[in-house]
Amino acid sequence: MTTLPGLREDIYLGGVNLSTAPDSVSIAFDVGETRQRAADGTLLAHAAKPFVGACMRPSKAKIALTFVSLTGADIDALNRVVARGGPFDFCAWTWHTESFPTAGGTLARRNAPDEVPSGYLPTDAATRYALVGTDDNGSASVVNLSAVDPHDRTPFSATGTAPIDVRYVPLFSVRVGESQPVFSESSQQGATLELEEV
Amino acid sequence: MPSTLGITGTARTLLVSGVGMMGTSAADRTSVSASDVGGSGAADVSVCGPWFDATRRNGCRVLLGTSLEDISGLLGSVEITAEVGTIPRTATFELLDSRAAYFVSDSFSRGGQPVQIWMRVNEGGEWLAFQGLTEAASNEGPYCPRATFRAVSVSATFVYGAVGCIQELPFAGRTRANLLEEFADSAGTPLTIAAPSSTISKAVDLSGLSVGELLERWGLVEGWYIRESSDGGVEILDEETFLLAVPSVNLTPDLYLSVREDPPNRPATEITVSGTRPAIGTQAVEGGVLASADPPITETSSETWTDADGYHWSRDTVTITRFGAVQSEKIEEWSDVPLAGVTPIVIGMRPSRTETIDYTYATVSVALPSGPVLVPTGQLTEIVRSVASRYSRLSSVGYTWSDGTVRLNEFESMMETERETTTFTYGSAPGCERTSVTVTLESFYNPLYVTGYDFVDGTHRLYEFYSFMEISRTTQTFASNRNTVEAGAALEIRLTETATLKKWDGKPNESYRVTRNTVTVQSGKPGGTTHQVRVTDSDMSRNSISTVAGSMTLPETYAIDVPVYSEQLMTFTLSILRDIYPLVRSLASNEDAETFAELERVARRQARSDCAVRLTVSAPSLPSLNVWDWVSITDEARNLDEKAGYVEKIAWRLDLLNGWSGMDIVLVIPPEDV
Repeated sequence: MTTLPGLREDIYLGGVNLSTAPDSVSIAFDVGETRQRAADGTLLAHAAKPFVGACMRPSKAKIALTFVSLTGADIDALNRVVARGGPFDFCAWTWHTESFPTAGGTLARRNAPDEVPSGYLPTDAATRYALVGTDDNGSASVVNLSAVDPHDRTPFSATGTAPIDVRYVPLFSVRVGESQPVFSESSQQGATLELEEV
Repeated sequence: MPSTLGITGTARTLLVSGVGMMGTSAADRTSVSASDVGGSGAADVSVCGPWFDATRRNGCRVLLGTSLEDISGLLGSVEITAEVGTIPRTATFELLDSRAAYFVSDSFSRGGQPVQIWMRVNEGGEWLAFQGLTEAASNEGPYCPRATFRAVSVSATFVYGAVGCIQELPFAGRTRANLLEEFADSAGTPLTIAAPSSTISKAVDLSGLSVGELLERWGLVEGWYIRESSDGGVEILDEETFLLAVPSVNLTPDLYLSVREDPPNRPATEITVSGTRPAIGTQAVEGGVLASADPPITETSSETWTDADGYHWSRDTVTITRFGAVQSEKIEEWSDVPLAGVTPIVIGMRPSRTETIDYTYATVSVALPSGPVLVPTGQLTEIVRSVASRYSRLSSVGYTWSDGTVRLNEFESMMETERETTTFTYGSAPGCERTSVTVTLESFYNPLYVTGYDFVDGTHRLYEFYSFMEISRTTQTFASNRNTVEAGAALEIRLTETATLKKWDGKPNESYRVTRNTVTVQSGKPGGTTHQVRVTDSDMSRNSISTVAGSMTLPETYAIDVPVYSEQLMTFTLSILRDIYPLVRSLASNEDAETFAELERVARRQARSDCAVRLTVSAPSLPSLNVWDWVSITDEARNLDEKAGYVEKIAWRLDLLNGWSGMDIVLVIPPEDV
């Protein structure tokens, strides 16, 4: 399915869907990679391979959410998240792609349509946000997900010629970083919230 | 590639317990071994695969604890260092884990925890970069303890973990490798050394050293290049193979980041190494073989003088030495003293007195290139001193001389007038203590006898004239009754010495009998500051007990199987780089070297290090490199075109978060032809 830009669903955080859409969302991926120039100018790029089956450019996400005005229920939900700290589940229903050098590996996160409780899934999530695999020839790769491991990663096997690209909607496991309520007007309450992927 | 001659031993595998210390799967080194790279010169990087890729993904596993748990709380970076001069590798890693605290159950911080560090790249096999034991670690951090662990590889336990001791007599025909194996046995870490080794002749008396220290020390003279092997053991490269090795990899500019070049700073350009070598006589012993047999060496001296009576004297002294031991001495005196007799006869210079001393030693066989030869040991067995002088026997009837004596002959003539024979006996090896000394004196004598022949001096004697006979014999026996006695609760040692004197004695008729028999007993406790001496004479004329400061006087010992030898000073001087640098001298001594070749080896090895250019190269890590490997480097800016050097130090560093796996290596480029 073609990727549609933007956030088109409610944010899922800490077991609830926030009814208020954030005014800004920033998802930065800190890639575990170092690049240096060799003596002849060749670019040497070393990426971390933190676990067996990791993708070619492993990363961890840092998410920053800004709300100008929240509903009372959302305020309670955010306060609960801040008070407990985490880890919590977070999903913004955005697409993410991981590439693997072999026909199989371990996705760094969980597949959201499979893991988010049904009562909080967007309509037709299984179809609209179905995981897609593509092999090196551009052909479809059949990706079979295994059970999530204790690190909230998802092993999988795939068909086709490596490297395999897997496009999916990740369910992040996050902890609260910085947070702050914002009172731009006396009768309104917003918040800024920073989340770091565990 | 350098061949390796391994040290094998059981200690290193016994010392590290834990499940699967080596892992259940052997490290896949075939794809990353340096032997896959190389050939005769330039590296074929395509063979080495992912470790040479410009883009690669690096992983690391640290297995820690008795169950070798694949721990997950690693922070920062993992570092491993190997360097020349220190056989074991060291590693450091940082851990955020509750078990970094001391009082937590299953704490990691108490030290002695097994640790393995495995590295991998892309989809290739893992390389066991390190295996060893941790040291105790301090920890800090408010919420969860964070500790930096330092570990030393397994070889440390058996090369530095215990000290050994060994003693060996000179000329025992042992090699340094044999002796090192015995030394390691004494340290409780048995090993077998397969490297070539020289036979030595010097005495060995070593203690308080670790196996690793002795390996490094003797490795200098043997030409051993010692490093930790890939399986945590110790391997030795022999010098010829090391010097002829080809580089295992060529670092081209796409394979390294930067180079720092450190030239030698005021290097020594004249290196002198001194030592001593054993010699028998004037000939050196190399590898237990005497270079050649000395002919007897004769030394002579002469003097002349005039005595108070105006008579002229001359004395010639001849000493003959062979194999460093005096064989004989002869002192011959001539004079123009008139011949004594009925009427003294004035003569020219004539022999007056000749003293000859002959020495006899127990011998031991020493190898020569042409075959064995017997050489003296320190066990002197007999000294015979014979004096010939002008004499005529005193007689009851005969010629009356001008001095009033009655002699058997009209004039004196040269004859043997005195002989003193000293014999020594020794106990058996290994003690070889001198057990007795007997001095027998023979001369002309005639015992007193009341009803014997009348002599002009008014005495009555047994025989008509004096005869050459034994006139005294003194015998000393040493510690023949040495025993160890339990005196109450304390151990006591007693040494008993007997001394007897036999001579012509008695009245009115002399007989040849023992006139004195003295027993001296020393007793004391081992290591005591005083000892007791009790002397008892057979005739009770002297009987004393005294307390003497110091330790007991033990019998002298002389080894039966050690030849008389000396140590000759030898020096070797190496001049290098004189066309570039001014003269700077370095003087050193080496007490282990026994040949010029070994001194030269030490000097050249020092030159290869002190006069070398060092390159510190930062590069992506290669797993298979080790110290003493040869590596070449190409750097146009420094006019280096596959310039070869050997690895002196490697520090691998894997940044766990950002994936960079690099190494800093120090390459030593020695001067040409050293």
